[in-house]
Parts: sequence; structure tokens; C-alpha cells
Amino acid sequence: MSPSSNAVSRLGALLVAQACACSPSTDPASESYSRIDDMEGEGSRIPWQAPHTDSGAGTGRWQSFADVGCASLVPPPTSPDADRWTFTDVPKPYTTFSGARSTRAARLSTTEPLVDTWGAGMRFDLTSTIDTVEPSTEVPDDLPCPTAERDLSEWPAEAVDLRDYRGITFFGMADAAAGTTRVSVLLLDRNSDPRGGICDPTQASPTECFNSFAASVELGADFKRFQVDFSELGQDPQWGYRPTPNEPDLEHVYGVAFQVFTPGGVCPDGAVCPGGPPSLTFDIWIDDVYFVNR
Amino acid sequence: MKTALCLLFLTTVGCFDVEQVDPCAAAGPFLVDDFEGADELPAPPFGQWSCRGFNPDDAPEAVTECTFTTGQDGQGFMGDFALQDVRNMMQEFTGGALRTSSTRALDLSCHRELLLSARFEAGPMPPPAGSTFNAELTCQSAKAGGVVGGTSGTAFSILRILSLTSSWQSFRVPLSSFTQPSWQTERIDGNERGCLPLVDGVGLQLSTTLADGESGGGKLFIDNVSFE
Repeated sequence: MSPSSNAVSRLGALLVAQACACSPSTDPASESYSRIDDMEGEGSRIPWQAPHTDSGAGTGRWQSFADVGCASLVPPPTSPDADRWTFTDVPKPYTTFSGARSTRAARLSTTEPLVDTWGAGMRFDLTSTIDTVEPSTEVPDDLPCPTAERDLSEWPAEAVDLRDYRGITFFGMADAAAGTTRVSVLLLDRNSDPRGGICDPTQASPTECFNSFAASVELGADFKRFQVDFSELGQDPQWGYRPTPNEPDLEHVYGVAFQVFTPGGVCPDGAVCPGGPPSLTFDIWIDDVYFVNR
Repeated sequence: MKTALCLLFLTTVGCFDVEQVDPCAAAGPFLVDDFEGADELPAPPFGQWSCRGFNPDDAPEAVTECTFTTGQDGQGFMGDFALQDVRNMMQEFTGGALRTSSTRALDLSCHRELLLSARFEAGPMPPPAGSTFNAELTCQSAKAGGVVGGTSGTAFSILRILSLTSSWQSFRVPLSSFTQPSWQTERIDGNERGCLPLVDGVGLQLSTTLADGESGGGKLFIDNVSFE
């Protein structure tokens, strides 16, 4: 479709929101931040501790997800009995916040194309009521993929109040030679996450879950900082559960996801698509994720 | 004082009277695809275009070519169909379709028309007289009798016949003129209008009247698809 299409104007609000998030941000001295994860520690759990939890939930953890080809996803998806998440050494240590040196980052990549699927991603929950998941380096060739519904229901967590924050900031980069470089940042709130009990996880339901408030960013070849204000997040206006008012529920947030979508989505069963079924490859890096304080 | 109170009352009532919201105010034109973008993708939530044969379904051999090609202006999309009615002493009304689908339902209840451009180039064995070209909207999550797909599990759709020629023509099709095909024995709840809030596919199909064992087909072209 052409850039001058009417669809662009119809989706104007969303695209404007996305455009706002597309440029690397400056580092204004007037802002203050709360560290979620600088990826320099060990293990998959984020250091950020929710200030108030009713259930005494622990910190959340990083994990990857996809619907197909999970053995081709690096790191592969974690399951409740095997934590497969790892951080990766950055190609060249660089300076992030307050002169800190970053040596490691969250890297998600594909070793083989993911064919005929919506996409893939990595996320962290803000809390977790699962204390321990044993680390594992075993990756069966037929590693089952966590479907969105099952994946989230397997990870009980407590929603967190983020009203003290006005956005999220992070460093990111991508290898354009590896594939897609556009990443969507999604806020998994009570209205879009099936754990909130409001939306319907059934696919194609009129009140379907997973239509999270999001903004997309185009990652470059080197680490740059991006900042996404929660007020800039937009929901796809055409499907799923859309709350009124149409804004993220910052009082009840489960986590944050970084997703890569397959351009063109899937080829329907029994159909022939021009050029064959669509496929997705990528190599994206996310580092030093902070909340922006109000 | 009484007059003032009366005026205050009337003014207050008046304020409530004018509070009306048009639920369709935000439903502007929606360009599905003009096929000019480098990404060759329709507008979200629609996925990439595909070509498929039906009756029999899932018969990739019915599609000899599925490609982006010269359109009405610039680039368009084309499917070349070699259709054959299965020889089984029955007429299956075999056909082929160009379609873009979404796993998400699109609410078109506030839109009035489907706009598209199309043409058909008959193959060496053209489809017989009586074959039809239809604009198609699918709504697989529509209900019949309160059940998605009805008791028969039908993937519901609504159609509108178009008269295609070998030259490009632009069509402006009222959504109110679409009808549910008669072979779908269960009626969509709310009839044809019940499909519009749940549209998950848009396309153009050739539905033939090929006799038992007969073959025929041709190239179906589409361009400039939008809703207004």
C-alpha cells in the first residue's frame, strides 16, 4: 500500500503516536529514571521490585515467545520447568545512563526463518508468583511453542500500579542484514492481558486479548536510546477488546513486551501467496530498560 | 425569580438534549490496498494477498500463477486459475478467488461502500456462460442462532455480483447490496448486516458453472480496494 493512502490518515492517531517514538531520544537532565533492568546481572529475573504487591509476588522474568519454530529462536522460550533465557555480550561495550558501561543486553534472534506466523517477541513480567524455574540449556529440536494464551496463563503474576511513571526508555539496535528491524513496544495491561480477566483470549473473538497499547520503533545498526511515553501508546483500532476510555490501564500492568511482526502475516491454509508463504527473520537487541519517573 | 429559574431549567434541559454522539463519526475512508507500496502488503489488519481455488478447496493446482502485476494504475494483483470440476457425476460450482484476510474482525458497520477495480482475462478454455464474478466479504466469527458459524460450522460470507470484462473497470458497491449466498443454509444473525461488524476478509471471486468434469478459467485482476 502506498504511503499516501487513506488508511494512513485513518490510523493517524496511532501512527503519530508511533512516529513520536521512532526517534532516538535525547537525555534531558531534568528527567529521572527508575531502573527496570540493565541486563548486567545474572539470571532472567528483572531487578526492579514492585513497590506494593498484595500477594508478596517476586520480581518478574524475561522470556521469549513465538507460535512456531521455537527451536530457531535464540534464546528459546522458557517453560515453567526450564528457564532458557540468557543475556548476550554486546559487540562493543558502550556508555548508557550516567556514564555507565553496558557490556550485556537482551538479544533475540532467529537461526532459521519463522514461516507463516504473526511474529515473535521477548517480554518481562513486572512480578511473578513462581519462585523458581530451573535454568536449562537443553533445546529440543521440536521445542513446543508457548501459544499466547497458554504462555501467559502459565505465568501467574500480580498487576502493578505504574501511575508514578510516565513512560519507558531503553537502548536498542538491530542487524538489518538479519531481517526486520522494526520493534513494537507493548504494555501488557489488565485490559489486554488474559490474566486480567477482562478480555477474551479466544482468537478472533470481538473482545480478544493481546491488542496491547503499543508504539513501534525502528532500530538502527548501533545502540541508541528510545523513549516511549505511556501517553503515546495506541491500540490497534480495528480488533479485540478496546477499553473506554481508550488508554492503557496504568494502575494494572503485568509486563512489557518487545515484539517483531511478520510483514504480511500468514498465508491462509490452502491458498497460494505471491512469492510463497511469508517468513520472518531478525536480530534485535534491547538494553538498559528504565521507567521514566513523573 | 420564577422566570430566572425557568430559564435555568430550560437551559439545563437544553444542554442534555444536544448531547448526542454519532457512533460512526470516526469511520473515515479505509484504503485496503492500492498495490503501490514497496512492501506489497494491504493495510492492517489485513494480511498478504493470496489466490485460492474452491470446490474443491485446498487445491493449489487450481492456481497456476499468483503475482503482483500491472494494475489499473501502476501495480495490481492477479491470480491465474485453471479450474476443473471434479468428475463425479455432480456439479461442484468450482471457482477461484483473490483475497486478503485477517485473523481479527474488522467493524465495517459504519462504512457504506466497497470500492475496487477489476478485470478478467479468459483463458484458452473460458468459464461457461452463467459463471459469475463476486465481490466477497467474509465474516467467519459471525453467528447463526447465537453460535459462531452456526450449527454447521460455516465460514460465513456475503457476496455481490460484478460484471467484469477484459478491460479495467472501477466499481463502487454499496455494502447494503451484499447478500448471503444461498448455499449457506443457516442465515447470519442480523442477516447480511450481521456480517459487517465482523469482516475478516475481502476479495474477488470467480464462481463457475463448469459442468461435471469440465475445465476452464482465466486471469482475475484486482486493484484499488477500499471502503468508504
